[in-house]
Amino acid sequence: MSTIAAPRGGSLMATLASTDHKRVALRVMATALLFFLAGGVLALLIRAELYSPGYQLVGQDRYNEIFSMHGSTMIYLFVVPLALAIGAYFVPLQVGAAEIALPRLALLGWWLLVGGGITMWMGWFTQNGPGDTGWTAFDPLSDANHSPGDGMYLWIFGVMLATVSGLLLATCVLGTVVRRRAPGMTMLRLPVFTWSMLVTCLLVIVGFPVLLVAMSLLFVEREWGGVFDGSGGPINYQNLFWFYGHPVVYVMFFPFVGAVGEVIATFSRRRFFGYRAHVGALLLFSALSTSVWAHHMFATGQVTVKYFSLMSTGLIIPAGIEYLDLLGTMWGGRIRFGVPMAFAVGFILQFLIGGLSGVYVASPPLDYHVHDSYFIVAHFHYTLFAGSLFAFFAAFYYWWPKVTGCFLRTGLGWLHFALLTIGANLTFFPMFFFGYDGMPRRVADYSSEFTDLNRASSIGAAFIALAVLAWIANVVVSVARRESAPADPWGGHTLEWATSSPPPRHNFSDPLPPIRSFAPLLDARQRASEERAG
Amino acid sequence: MSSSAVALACYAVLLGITAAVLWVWSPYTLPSALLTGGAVAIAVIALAVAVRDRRAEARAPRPEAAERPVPDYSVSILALAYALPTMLVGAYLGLYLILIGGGVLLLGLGGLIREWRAERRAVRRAEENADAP
Repeated sequence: MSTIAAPRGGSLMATLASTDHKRVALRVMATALLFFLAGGVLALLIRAELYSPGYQLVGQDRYNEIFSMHGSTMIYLFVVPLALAIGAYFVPLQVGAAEIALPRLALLGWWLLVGGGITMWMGWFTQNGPGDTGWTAFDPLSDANHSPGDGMYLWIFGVMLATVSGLLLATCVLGTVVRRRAPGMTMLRLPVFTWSMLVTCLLVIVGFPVLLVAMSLLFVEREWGGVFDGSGGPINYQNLFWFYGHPVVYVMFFPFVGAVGEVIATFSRRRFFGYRAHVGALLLFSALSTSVWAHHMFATGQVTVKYFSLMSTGLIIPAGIEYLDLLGTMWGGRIRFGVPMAFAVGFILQFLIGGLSGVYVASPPLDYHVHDSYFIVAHFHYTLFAGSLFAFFAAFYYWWPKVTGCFLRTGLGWLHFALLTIGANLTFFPMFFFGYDGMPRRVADYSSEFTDLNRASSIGAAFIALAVLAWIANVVVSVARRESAPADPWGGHTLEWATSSPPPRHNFSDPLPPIRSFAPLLDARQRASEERAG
Repeated sequence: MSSSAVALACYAVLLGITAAVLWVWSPYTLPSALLTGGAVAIAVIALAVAVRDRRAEARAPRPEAAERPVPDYSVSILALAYALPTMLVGAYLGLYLILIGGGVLLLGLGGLIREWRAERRAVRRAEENADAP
């Protein structure tokens, strides 16, 4: 791999304009994690306000802004970019490529994320505050009459920029899988994580442009009106929005379940179980997840209920296969229970709660009962927080030595895991109960009968904050007092462990090992042990 | 058909099947059209990948096919990253932002063309070096 001469002033340029996919991905991750902290502060404000009935910290208007920006930040600026950034870092390494496809687009993707985030958060400095119509901005609530002011416009532009950013990153990752695989790396030898990223990118390419259309139309509606008029107008907006809004849930899920697959196979010291079934399940899962968006709209009465209910319930088939494969990989393995494995198992258990409550709300009569209640809040926080975030931390502890060349501290890691497990379940499990009993979401005040469970939930949020502090402390301590990590500290199965930690500019200094399966390093180790034995 | 095109085509077919069921069951046009559009988009990408892979197979491999000249830094992208949000926000805040953004966009595109030309020169140099005895 040759390079064109680099301009002078390397360090500043390396920070701002490097086309190295690893640098770009790390910057996207850092940006996303900053927004995670910002969105987390908003979450703490929400839980502080809900500690008691009545208005304590903020009124309903400010509360609307806080929960809207919390949801928008977490989805548009944190989980989606984070998921794609993990792919942008590791997919080229896993397929044996020296570089990501279209590296300049990846760089542009990072900068548009920064621009989108700043634009959206600039809304706090406008007269009427930021966008306050939830992360969905349903029309007519979000039109110029009901949500006047510059903040809502900035929210729309921020969403558009973040969406283009996601599209660009997904294009680069997909292009890498399609065009940059090393010799021998056939599609059915792609690692599990890379397959997860492939289907994620397909979801992005199908869904994200539709959100851009929805946001453009919303802008036109606010400026000139006439777009979503008439009886079907708001429903059209909802169809456009949820055509993005449901697949994006899986954009925030597949990369992390792929990472958990890698962690479980490595820490079970066993080849991933049921690889081909898993690949088929991923394709089916992604096709079904693109086809179920209108289950969010059951209560509108203007959707084909039997179709969307059937498809939504059908999701349990590929999900079941994936769970079977994850558990089958552990079954009979020589499990090493390190911190990454703990987070992976935490993901499996907690996502199960989120998934099963998803089957529950896929049933229209039950959905009518819990629609827009805290039951739904509990459901999606079990999938995205107790699920995807645990999987992210599994990936974080697993790949940190590869990215930095040093280990995280195990003790702080266990403390992080324990606090987060307590916090996540204490925060979100009570929501199932007071949601089922009728507490609506998006309210700053509530009936006093829900006080005790809301207090438990708010105390849980404090545990989550402590867990995040433990995680930050772990990162700071590990970087300040480095414990060097070798190239392959865990006995990994895939090609990223065949290069140095951290990897060089063009990923691989030495020739790649032969690629005869989706676990080439495991193959090499098995061959070596057979030769020793024989 | 290459294996990557087959994978994409499989996804397009699955989407097509779900779209077909929705056309049959749904009295509403927009949902069915959205799903069909998604299936068609992926099918087009699968077709493009298949055609490109077939052409790549037919072409004799370059001596250093693995080498791909890429600049380590791209300042032009910084210009685009400034220009695009500026123009977008300008759609609401005023024409002057669109004009400023447009100017920077042109600068960025000019820089990108310069980078691409440098890349092509680097490729030619690599090929000439490979041909040299």
